[in-house]
Amino acid sequence: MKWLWKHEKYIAWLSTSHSDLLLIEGKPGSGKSTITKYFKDNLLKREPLAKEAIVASFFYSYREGEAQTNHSNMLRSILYDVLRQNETFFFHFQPLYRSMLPHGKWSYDCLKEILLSFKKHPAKERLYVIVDAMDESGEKDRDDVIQLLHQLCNEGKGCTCVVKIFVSTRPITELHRDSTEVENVIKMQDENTADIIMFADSFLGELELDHECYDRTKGYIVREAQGVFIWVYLIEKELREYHRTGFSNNEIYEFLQSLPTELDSFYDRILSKLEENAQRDIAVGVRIYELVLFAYRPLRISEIQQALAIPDDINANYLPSDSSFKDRIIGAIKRRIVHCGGNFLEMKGLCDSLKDFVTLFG
Amino acid sequence: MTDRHEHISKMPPIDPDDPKLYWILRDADFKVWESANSSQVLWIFGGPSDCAMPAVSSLIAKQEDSRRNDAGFYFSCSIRSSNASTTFTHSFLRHILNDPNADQRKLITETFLSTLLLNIIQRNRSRFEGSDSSGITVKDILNKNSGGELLQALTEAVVEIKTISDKPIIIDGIDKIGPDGARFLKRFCSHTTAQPMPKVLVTSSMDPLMKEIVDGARIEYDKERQGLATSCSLVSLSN
Repeated sequence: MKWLWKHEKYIAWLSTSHSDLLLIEGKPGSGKSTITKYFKDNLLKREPLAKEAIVASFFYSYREGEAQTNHSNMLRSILYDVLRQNETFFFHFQPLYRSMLPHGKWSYDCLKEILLSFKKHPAKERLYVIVDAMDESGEKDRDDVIQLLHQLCNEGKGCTCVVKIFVSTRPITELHRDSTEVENVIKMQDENTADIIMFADSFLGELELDHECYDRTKGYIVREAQGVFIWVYLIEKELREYHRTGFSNNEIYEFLQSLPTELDSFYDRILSKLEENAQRDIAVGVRIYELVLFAYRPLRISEIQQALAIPDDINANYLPSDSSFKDRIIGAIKRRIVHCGGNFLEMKGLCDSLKDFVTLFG
Repeated sequence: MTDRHEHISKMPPIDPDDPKLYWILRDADFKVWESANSSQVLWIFGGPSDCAMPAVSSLIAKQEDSRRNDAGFYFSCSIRSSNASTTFTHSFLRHILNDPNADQRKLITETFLSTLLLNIIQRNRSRFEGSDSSGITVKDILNKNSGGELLQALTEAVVEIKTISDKPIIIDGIDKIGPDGARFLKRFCSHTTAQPMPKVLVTSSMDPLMKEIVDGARIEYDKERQGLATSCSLVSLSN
């Protein structure tokens, strides 16, 4: 991801002395959120100008529901970050804050008004606004929020505050209207190819393909991936599993061609395969997903191992003694997680042990 | 309390556009005070360690003078006093007596003394010797009577004279007076809000006693922002 710091569009966006918007665009699974998080985590280290700057961010997430898709919440978060980091911005809030007391409800328009007033902050400040997954935001008012971001970038008389806006999204029409066309756009598929080639090389070499089939397979993967890294990751899992059962080069290539090229279809395929499991395995799979999805933090493999040793049914005849608990522990827990959870689950960590974490892939 | 001429000129110049001063100069209550012509009391306190309040209050005094094209009243408190009302009244009168406008000097002195005459001398006639000169009598009144009575006479005199009641009063570092500073301010504010009086701006460090007894508009450094930033009404949802 270090390519970001040297990308011409990034440099063009960052180096200008005026407010500007950088758009990171790509298909689902192409690493937009990863690069956005990388940018946020490394901005202060990498950019001298950012050291004294205010950094405000919001990550839209359809999966998190209303709290993470609502535009008012996005504005509240951004404003909160600014207010927390720089006390001198308080006077922008004060009149509206007082007017809404004692009920304490911020209206959408009021939040917009405060954010726009930052443009005319009298002291020369630099503000980074990072917004991830704009496509996952609520459709109502999305257009309006995009207009607002453009307004923040518009230079006007008395604008001393420089606002650098970093937005990542899958292609959405609201960002490609004549009036709001963005100059600095980075398309993830153009940037991911080298990483995808490297990743493809890392596992194709283990499939014992001949030279011609190797190139053909690799070419197909790079072409069909269209920058979607998750798709390549899922392809790797499928090909490795297929290869274990022993097939010819042609059969491997044909199998590859039979796999879905769109992520949604791929997910359907994984779920269908899980449904073919025995009822007992399906129940364990559901349990694992419940644990992973509802846990406050990523769980370790050992924690899932122990949680699975406790009966799901609260009426079960179960004596919670050390010996009965040990008897219920699944020794080959990693294989069990893969078998019952499929390729949606990822085990990652540094030690390749039960201390590794289990997370939902992507 | 020392007067403005002894104090303001010694203050290091500060930039009114310095963001460190936004908590005062761009505060909504300050804006209200700034645009008011009378009867507004504002107490500013608890600034950060690098905020030189005497310099800030001097700056505000200069801005007010410039806006009105006339000098207001400026007092800088520097020593403890057990009778702040008396000290303030004396300082205020010294301000007046230094005023180049002779008519104004005469008018306020007469009004002030007339009020004292009504309120004090007639009530305590036996205290004064008929043989004393008027100078001794006045000195006796100013030195021996309660600060409250002097302050009341002063405020009544100020109300009478429009050219004085329009001028802002700035009192810097009132906490340096000690506990009587807070009592004086409360007494003074009760006069100034009841009738058309000069607008008053007072600065101090954080003083629990002041917080307890002083009413009216106040700007406490960063308090409102902290309240907003920690309240659930603007909670962060950042990942």
